[in-house]
Amino acid sequence: MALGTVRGVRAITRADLAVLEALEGLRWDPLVEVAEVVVTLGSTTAFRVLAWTVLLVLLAVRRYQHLFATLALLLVVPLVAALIRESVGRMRPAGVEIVAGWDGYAHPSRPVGQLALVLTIATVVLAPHGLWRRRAAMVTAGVLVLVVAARLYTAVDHPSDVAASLALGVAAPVLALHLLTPEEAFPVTYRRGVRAHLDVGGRRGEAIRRAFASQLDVDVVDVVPFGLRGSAGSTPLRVATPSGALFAKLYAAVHLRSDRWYKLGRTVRYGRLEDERPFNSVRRLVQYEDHMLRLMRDAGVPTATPHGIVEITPEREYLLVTELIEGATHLTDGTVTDDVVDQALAVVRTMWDAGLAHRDIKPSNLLLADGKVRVIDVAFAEVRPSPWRQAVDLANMMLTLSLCVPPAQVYERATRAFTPDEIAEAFAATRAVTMPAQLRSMLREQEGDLVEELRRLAPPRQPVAIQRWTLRRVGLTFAALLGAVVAFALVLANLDLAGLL
Amino acid sequence: MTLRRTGAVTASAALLLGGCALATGGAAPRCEPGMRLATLAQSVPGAAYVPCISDLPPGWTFEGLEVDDDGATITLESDRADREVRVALAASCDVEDATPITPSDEGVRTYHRVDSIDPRYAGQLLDVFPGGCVTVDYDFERGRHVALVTELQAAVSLFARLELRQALDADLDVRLDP
Repeated sequence: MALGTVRGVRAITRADLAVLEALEGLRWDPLVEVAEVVVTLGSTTAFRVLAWTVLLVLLAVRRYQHLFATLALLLVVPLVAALIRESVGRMRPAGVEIVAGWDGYAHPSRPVGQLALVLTIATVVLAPHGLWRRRAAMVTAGVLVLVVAARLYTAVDHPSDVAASLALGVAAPVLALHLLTPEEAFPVTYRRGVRAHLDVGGRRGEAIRRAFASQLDVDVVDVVPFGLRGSAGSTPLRVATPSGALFAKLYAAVHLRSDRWYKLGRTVRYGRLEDERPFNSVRRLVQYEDHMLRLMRDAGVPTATPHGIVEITPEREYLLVTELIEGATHLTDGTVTDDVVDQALAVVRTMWDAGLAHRDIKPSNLLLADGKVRVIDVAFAEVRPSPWRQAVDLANMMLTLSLCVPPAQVYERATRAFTPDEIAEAFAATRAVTMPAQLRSMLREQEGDLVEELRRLAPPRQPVAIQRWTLRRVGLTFAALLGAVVAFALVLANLDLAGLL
Repeated sequence: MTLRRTGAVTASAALLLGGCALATGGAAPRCEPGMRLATLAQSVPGAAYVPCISDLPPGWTFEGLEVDDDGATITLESDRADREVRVALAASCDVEDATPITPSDEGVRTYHRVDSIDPRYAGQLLDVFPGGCVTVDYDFERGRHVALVTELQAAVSLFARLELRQALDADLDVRLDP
């Protein structure tokens, strides 16, 4: 702002030139040659290489929130700097000999600004919090000091030009990334695993302990991830207490977003099978599952006893707490006797009779503990489901059991709880899209076609048509494609404007 | 709306509108002493004149300025021309096959080179002076070319480095040339 007035320009320029003239007096040819090389670290090529490296690393580790924030910063900050440069229209240092190359107006310094921006972003989004980030920050600071020193030594920028560019190039990304991708919600980590599985150490672990104590009057001894295999919609935890252990599912905004994208993707890919409305808050997602657990329990479906909901961060993080079924294995990893088959089929019968559907029957949601079948993860459960959905539940249960027991045996036991017509209808409604991905994948690994085998055992039945194309699906597909094209074109245009292409 | 969502919306808006902000090309180097003109003067040290933009005739717009330690280029557009006009300041230029015309200013030798007459009227106006030269590159459709060239000659002027140097010294206490 000071450069917007004549008095301001005079004062600042006088101070700037005093520094540059002093540095000019210290010039030594070998050092000038070194400075001319160091100055190139702020070149457009260097900026592009660093920027694309950051973007590609984020893409490779699938940290999309950081990727979007980085892309936005790489476009917006240089844009703001360019607007300031055009507005001020400051000349290069005068009264001293400029001994390095330059281009454009001087204030703020484009090369220093770009370098500061990309190195600061890299420090925050690529270096894990703690020692690594401190080291990265020191390297960033060191590089910037070198480049700034070189540019001042060669008199290609005023000191106030580099100061302004550092303020913008460092402060803007730090602030923006803190706002858009706070560390607690988006930790920088390179551990392998499902993105939905959040870290429960550190501050989050402490928050969990406090919340259990204040809301459920439970002292927590330890919280560790538990049963991660087959869980991608939440972070399952084992909560150790003085009187035993509890099971808890940690839900956060990342799970809500996954739920939204999952349902949108299903609608676009497969059409309207049934209600695929996403939840619009983490609280509602957790409330729903807790409610369904209680409904299932009250209806006599053998599931985990609910113990309530714990709020970690209002509207952002919640725990759904249930009993921990000790000593349980996944049904398909245990000994599946006729009694176990009967129990599993009885689960479906009980749900039918109570007007409920699980909608996600698959091996990882069926446990076997002390010879007893328990069904878990009722997040997708439904009240008063359509007959089609009830039929699909039966088919998925029979297919899951057929992974361990010959299909003919499963069919014979099923006829004790269901009529042949009901079983025929179940398999008439079965397609790849009606099976959970885990079940589909495990069936593919089997020799032979278990779906066809079970279908042939049942009375012949015409396939049940699934409504695939609706106005909503057409609209969503078109909007998704159009949005993708527009976003791609805009990003390309702005990448070009930001000098990244 | 949370702070994070506000930031995300703002960033998205900036992404969407970003390109438009710079579409105007910024402020033109006007024919008045100041830092913009001084930057052009710094691009060719020793050039006795620098190009500047007088009042642009109706329909003409300033599209951009590229300036570095090797010279400067001003880009202009007219709503009656389908191609832009480029005004370049350089340390030297080639006046071969160019015809001398009335000088633009004191101490300046002005030339006109016509590369094409039909179907398009294309060529350069060159102002050669001590330490540098200014080349105006144009390419117009026939029919409108006479008026456009006349307007162009009125729009682009030369500003004396000496005058610029004196003004900067007096107003900003800055010595243009060490």
